[in-house]
Amino acid sequence: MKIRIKFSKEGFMQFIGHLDMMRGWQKIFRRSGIPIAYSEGFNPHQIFSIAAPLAVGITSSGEYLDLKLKVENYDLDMLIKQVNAVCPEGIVILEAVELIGKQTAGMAACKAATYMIDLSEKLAKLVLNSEKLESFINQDSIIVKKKNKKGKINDFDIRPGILEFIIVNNALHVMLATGSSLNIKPELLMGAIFNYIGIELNVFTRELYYDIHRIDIYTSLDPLLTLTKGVVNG
Amino acid sequence: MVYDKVHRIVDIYICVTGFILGGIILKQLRVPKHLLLTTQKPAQYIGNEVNAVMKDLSSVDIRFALCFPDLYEIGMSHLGLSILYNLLNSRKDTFCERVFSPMKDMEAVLINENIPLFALESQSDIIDFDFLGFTVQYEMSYTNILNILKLSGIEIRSSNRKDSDPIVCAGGPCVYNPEPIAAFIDFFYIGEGEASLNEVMELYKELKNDPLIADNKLKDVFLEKLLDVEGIYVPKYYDVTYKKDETIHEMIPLHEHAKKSIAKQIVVDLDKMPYAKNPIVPYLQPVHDRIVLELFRGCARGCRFCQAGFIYRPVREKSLETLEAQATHLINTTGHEEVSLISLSSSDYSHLSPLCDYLIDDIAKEQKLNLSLPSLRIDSFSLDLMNKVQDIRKSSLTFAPEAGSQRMRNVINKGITEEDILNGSKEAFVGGWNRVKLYFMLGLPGETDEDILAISTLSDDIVKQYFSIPKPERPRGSVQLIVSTSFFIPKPFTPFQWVKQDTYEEFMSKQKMLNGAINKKRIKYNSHNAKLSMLEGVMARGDRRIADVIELAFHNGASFDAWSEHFVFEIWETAFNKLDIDPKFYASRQREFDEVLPWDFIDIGIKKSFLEKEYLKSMKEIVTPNCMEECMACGATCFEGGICFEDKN
Ligand code: SF4
Repeated sequence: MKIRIKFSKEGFMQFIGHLDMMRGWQKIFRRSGIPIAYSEGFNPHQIFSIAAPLAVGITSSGEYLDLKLKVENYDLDMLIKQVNAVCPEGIVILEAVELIGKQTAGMAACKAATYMIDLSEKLAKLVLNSEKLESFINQDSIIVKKKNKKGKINDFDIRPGILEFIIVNNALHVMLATGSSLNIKPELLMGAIFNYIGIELNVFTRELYYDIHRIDIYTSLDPLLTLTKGVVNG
Repeated sequence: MVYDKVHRIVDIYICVTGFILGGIILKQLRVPKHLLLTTQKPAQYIGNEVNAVMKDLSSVDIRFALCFPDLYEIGMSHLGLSILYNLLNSRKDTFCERVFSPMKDMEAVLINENIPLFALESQSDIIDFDFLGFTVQYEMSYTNILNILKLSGIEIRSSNRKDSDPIVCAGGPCVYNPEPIAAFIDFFYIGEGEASLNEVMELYKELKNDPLIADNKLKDVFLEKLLDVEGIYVPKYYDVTYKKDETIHEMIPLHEHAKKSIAKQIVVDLDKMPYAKNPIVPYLQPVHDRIVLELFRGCARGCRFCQAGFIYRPVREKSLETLEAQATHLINTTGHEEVSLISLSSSDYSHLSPLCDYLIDDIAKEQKLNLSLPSLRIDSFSLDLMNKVQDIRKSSLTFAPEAGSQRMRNVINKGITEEDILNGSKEAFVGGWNRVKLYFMLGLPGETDEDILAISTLSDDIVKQYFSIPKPERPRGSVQLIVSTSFFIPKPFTPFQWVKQDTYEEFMSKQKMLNGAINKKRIKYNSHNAKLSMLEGVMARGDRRIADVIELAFHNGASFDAWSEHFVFEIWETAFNKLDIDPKFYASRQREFDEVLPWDFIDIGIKKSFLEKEYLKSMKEIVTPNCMEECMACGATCFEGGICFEDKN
């Protein structure tokens, strides 16, 4: 059976990169004793995938992982319990649902993600108080330089990918396009803001920095899990 | 200011709790998050891995910072570290934490930000610990030890330290000759930690809790009391005098309790010994990301160049039942999918076949499991086994003939014949392997040009074995042979402890000769850094005077010397010159049997006369039977256990 789990990645776990985390998951699943399915072939591996890999340094309360069990009708509460029992501090499975019928993999389904970008006091003063911020977001297009897979630097308009942009205290709340067709990383947005306002911040310092927290991932504008649940119920 | 769409209250809620949560945890990071994120691989500085131990600092008497003086990914692959970590943390009164060498970028952050080096688990400064203990696995990590001390804010020389500084101790194979680093270490532990490290901790706790001992006297009292503990060497209670010819005249104990000879401590019954029960599972991929199952300690073979083969005598095995139980537990507690069977020559383990059957048939049936079997002799049994557990297309086979000619293999007592090698490689080819790695040494005692060229001939003969197999039976793809040579480094406590190491020039001309002789069409040749091998030779057989060289080289920028990309020989050369110390005196000088060697005061349980006899036999190319066939009465019976008391075939 196929299952989608939603989990959080907080605290120390934010320093664990995607590839290390993938190896970590394999070990978590082995320790948990859940009957995870393996691929065929000489070098079988566990069948699971992560919806939208998270960069190092970003915490999240809405990560998704699709996995396959070699049995049907496995009790999902039990699965959550088993996995949580062996998860390192900072990873918590929040929910699990069965994926019934033909489902788009989490990776292909995700379209957007919401983030809270928390600016240090000093940086907030420079950025959030800047008059330019309003004109920044009101631009029709926001062009940034981005390296493509071949290493060539191209111009790239991120404005269509900024779906939500709100200021709450010292933080920015944004919804950004995420996925294979359009993918905007929050750092890219921050870079564009700094550039526009005229702040140079190549390396964080003790006073100038920001924290990124991913709140959730969405297919269209619904959380990934909500949509899945809808399908299951319907 | 709301620019776009309605925002989700729920999201804010989740988000805020997330941050409070994160905030509490992150407060403990010694290097603030945003500085940490400027470094490569920040995960190595945070601890918090699965099975990492966390204790309440106020509930323990002893805080022990256990250090592997190299990168996290190297240290975390080391079984010894894991054993000590588990051993110390199994004590209620002790909290043992890990320390590794920070990478250069992190080192810069620490220095720029004025942050002292810290231990991973509690993220607290090393200087606040009771102990800083180093496990010293290779000589070229000596400058890293000094760097750890410096980054921690601890004086490099023991004699300059404050009473409140942690007590600095060291163990591991290198400390069987502790003298080159004696000036930096308060006490050495000679032997296996499981044997009596607990006794050392008990003593410390007793003194620390003694109201009559003032805090600023604790270290001194403790070090003095250690003189009565077996296996402990406290360098400050000894002085060394030298003769006119610069060799050692005498080692003089300066305290009535300072022993003339320090006896190695070992565990006789490995089944009763605590093992690394809950090894930490790192996130960052260590060099070896797997469970390590230790089959036995010691080695029965007696290769004359191999220090491990002598210092770890006698051979002591774990029983099959113990290993089965330990394997099962380790698989469950770590989630690793690979088990590696290690020991100095795994093929000699009495129950290898049933153990592998258990792992393959019982465990691997339930869940996928890879077995890795380093240090196996290549024969039909092991090939068969590897065939079952490894993906042949990806793996290569490793032979370590060590020398090219039979004559030379007799000199070093490597009990493997040309026939063994050729048959083994042929069977490997038939079995489907086409990549074979061969390891040799250059500069072995008494080596001639013919011996060197024999390496190339033997390699050619192996290639010929491949082509002697009818085409349809050969593995697909062409044969690939990789020949690697290292330079011989005479080590203390081996029969070669007296011999002259080749000079740099000799090494290079030998390497050149071999390089010219090897047929490059099918064979790839790798060689070592001769300067590094020479320096290692100096460190391995150095005495107390070498400390100055290490310290000066360190001050001039030497660190990570074991890493070719960081090793700068010129720094060392300058240090030797400046201090007027001739490296050749240590590396390239033949010693007489009656010379006092710097490590003579360490008693590994093997008689010096035995090593002497072995050396003389080697010069006559006479081989010595291994401990499984016949006992040569080396002296290891003093430990009253192990192979010495088993029936010989
Ligand atoms: S005493 Fe005999 S059996 Fe024991 S280690 Fe020495 S040679 Fe081997």
